[in-house]
Amino acid sequence: MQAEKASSHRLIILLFAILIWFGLGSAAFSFSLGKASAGAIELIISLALAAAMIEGRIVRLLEGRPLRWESILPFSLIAVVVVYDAIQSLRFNQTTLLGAIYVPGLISIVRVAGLLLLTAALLWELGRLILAKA
Amino acid sequence: MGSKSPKLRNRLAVLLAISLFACPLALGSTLSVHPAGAATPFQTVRPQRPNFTPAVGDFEPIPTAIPTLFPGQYFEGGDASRPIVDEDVMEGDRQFGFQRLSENPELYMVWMTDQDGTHYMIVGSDSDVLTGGNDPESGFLFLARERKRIHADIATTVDNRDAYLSSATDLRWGAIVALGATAVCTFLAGPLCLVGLGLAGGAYWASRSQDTNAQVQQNILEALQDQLSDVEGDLQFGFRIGQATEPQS
Repeated sequence: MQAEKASSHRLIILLFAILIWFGLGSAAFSFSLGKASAGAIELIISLALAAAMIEGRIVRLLEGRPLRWESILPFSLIAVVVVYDAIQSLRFNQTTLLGAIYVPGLISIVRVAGLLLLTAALLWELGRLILAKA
Repeated sequence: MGSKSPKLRNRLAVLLAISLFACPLALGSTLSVHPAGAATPFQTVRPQRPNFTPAVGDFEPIPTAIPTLFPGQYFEGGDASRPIVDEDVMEGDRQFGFQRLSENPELYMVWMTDQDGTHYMIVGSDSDVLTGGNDPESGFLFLARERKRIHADIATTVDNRDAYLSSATDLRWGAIVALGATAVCTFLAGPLCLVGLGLAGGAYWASRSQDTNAQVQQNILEALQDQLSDVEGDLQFGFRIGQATEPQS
């Protein structure tokens, strides 16, 4: 039971990390395209999420609670959406454009690489939690 | 020998005396002496300006040869003697392009880049390399401008594609936020919160339509890149034909 609660804690931290990384990556991509207002909104939301995670109230709210089976569904769907996003966004041949380095292409690669790593960790934690419950 | 008569000795003395004057007069036309050698000792040449006294270390400037440009002349990228590429007057860019030469307005310099580097050639203003001859769409005048147009189209298409991709990513971020909120809510309140999946699904489907638009732009981009590759191939081909056919004078 203790292991299950610790795993829930890590899961919620990973969820926040994915949301923040996704937002920061989108903000950087928007800024690199010259879309300052869209980038600023994404940056503010990401920073607000980071502040909420660091402040810890939401995380503490969930601490000590065992994971419900129903929660596994949205967590799994997050992984599906991230992988789909990676397939759509990742283009390794777009790092240069007309002989010059293409910054938005590089940002996309870094964003997607980070997201895939975080999602792999989320799925790993979800798997451990399911095994602990089973 | 002591018995020789004084008469014979006197005749020989007279003959010697006459020959001292007669021989130079007789051989003067055939045995000449160089006048400069005669005028100066030790056979040194008399200076053109005898009163000129050169200062030590002061030399007259030696004129340098001015390179002459002519049609058919060819340069490699690292050749210091080639005319400078002037970005203010050139058409195209530093990889493919041409410019009128300020040294001679009747001449143009064309250049192209391949796997070995950038190559330059001087052509006349009426050269087929420049004008394309019977096929104007094969000359540098047309192709360099066509390449510039394709570059502009590529930049626009990339902007459009990335704008759609950015929208799609934002919508997927919304979907993940909705899923995260649903997950947390389900943690706390139970399966009722799973209605949030509908919200996430809506954002996800919206993102897919933006992905479709981005894919259309990507297809246009790939077609433009093929066109660019063709135009650059034509420029390289025209240049090489020019190397073989351009008259050298």
